[in-house]
Amino acid sequence: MPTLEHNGSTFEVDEDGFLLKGDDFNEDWVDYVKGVEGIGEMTDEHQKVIDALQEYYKKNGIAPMVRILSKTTGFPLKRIYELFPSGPGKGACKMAGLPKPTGCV
Amino acid sequence: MTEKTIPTLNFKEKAEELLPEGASFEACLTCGLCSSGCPASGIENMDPRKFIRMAMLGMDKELSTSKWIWACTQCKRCQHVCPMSIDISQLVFLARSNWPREKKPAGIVRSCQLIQSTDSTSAMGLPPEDFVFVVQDVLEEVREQQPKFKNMQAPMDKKGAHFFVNQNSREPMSEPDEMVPLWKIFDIVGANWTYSSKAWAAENFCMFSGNEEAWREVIKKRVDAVNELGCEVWLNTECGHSYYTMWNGINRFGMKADFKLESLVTYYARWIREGKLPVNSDWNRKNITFTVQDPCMIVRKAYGESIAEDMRFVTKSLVGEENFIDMQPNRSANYCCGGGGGFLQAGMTEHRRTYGKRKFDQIAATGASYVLTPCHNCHSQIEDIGHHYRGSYGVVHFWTLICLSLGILGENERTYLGPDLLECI
Repeated sequence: MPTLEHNGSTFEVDEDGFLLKGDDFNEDWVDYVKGVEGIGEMTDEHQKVIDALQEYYKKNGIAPMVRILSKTTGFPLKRIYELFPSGPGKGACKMAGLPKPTGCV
Repeated sequence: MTEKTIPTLNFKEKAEELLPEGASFEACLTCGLCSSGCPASGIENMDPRKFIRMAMLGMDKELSTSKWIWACTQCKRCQHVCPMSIDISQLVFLARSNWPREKKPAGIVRSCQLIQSTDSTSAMGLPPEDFVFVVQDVLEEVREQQPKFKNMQAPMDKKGAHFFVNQNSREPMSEPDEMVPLWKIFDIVGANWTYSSKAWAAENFCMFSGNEEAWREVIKKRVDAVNELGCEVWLNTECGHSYYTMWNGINRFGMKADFKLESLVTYYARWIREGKLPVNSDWNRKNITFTVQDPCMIVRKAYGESIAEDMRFVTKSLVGEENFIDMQPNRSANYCCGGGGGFLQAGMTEHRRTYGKRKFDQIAATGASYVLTPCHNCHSQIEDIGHHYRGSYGVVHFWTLICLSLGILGENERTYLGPDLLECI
């Protein structure tokens, strides 16, 4: 599997650039994904989405449905797409260190 | 811990067991029709003819460990063109079964595990309560915001409904508003339908993983759920492999199904013919052009020409005959897009895009602005290769275009429309 380095941290990722080991998640990973996803400035709103994704994943072993993510964060889906242009399943989950979404995607 | 190795299969023996009546490998002219028409030819230095010749030469170790089996989408085009109808996809299925789980592509294995993890049978692992919640949540919103549909229903676990409707997990998970156009269609035609809180999901990555026992378990859950509700028709949504995996699985595992299996495409065509879905192409004033992708799983591998014809009838009714451009080749001879067989989850992005180049070129040759396809894997793959090879087409679901034509497409239901289609609303 490919590995990448950013700001001195090393990460193992899958072919689509998702973190293979959730434990590797750190600030450098967030900074790296910010670059590849074309996100200008990290805001508290980005952080709120990441925290909600991680908390739900720890509890349930899957990412939340976007409707649940919207309710937890208080952000409508449109706002989540503004924060993470490639969407909650791809950009936001990637930044939060969750695995690539499964199924027909 | 010692790493698991891939056991060696006797491919010649298996291939001979699978031969259709009257066929023989001695009579194979090695004509190469299988390979020339296979978009996976050349990937991992393999092609269907080479696969068979290596089997005949006893090169079992090489075949047992070849990664090509995960790039072959088991689309059966090789069988379709073979003068002796030799089905290489079944050998590929056996080869996939033979790999230890730890060595199989993680995305396919995980999608199957999640299917097995809840009563939903969802490859995204959505439990029944989440599905029930999202359906209710979206329905309430539509009823409040779209007065024309203030009484619309999305029934759950309704016993005796005519249609048991399945649902690809992608919508409830990440695109919930995309469920609405289909509900509107059911509302307009007056369909007696229901979702089920159990076994509602469409996907079956267990089949793709070569895990026959898990495939059987998934189908059993789905058959039991339909029998339990007493529905007459299991209606497959716009999802290719869910139809094939159910239809093939019921026969393969000898299950008792008290219902018929049907595709939504058949009903779109029927409802248009009967005047229940009064679509027309008047909206397409700009002569926006469309082509259709024939999902292998419902066309070549299941229904054959009848559903391909229905798809074209529906498309022409929606966009105008003069605005429809067929791909070449088409119908049962159409090429797989490369999204099937679990390829999207196989972690082989470069190979998948190499495979998809043939589809991209086919679409580009039509010059069409949009591709219509009733399959989520086709949808994802055709979008991806479009971006990758810098195409300019869009990909849309049938339900979107039906509601657009009827003038009932809500604001949140327009994700897949480009600016040209948005201007037509």
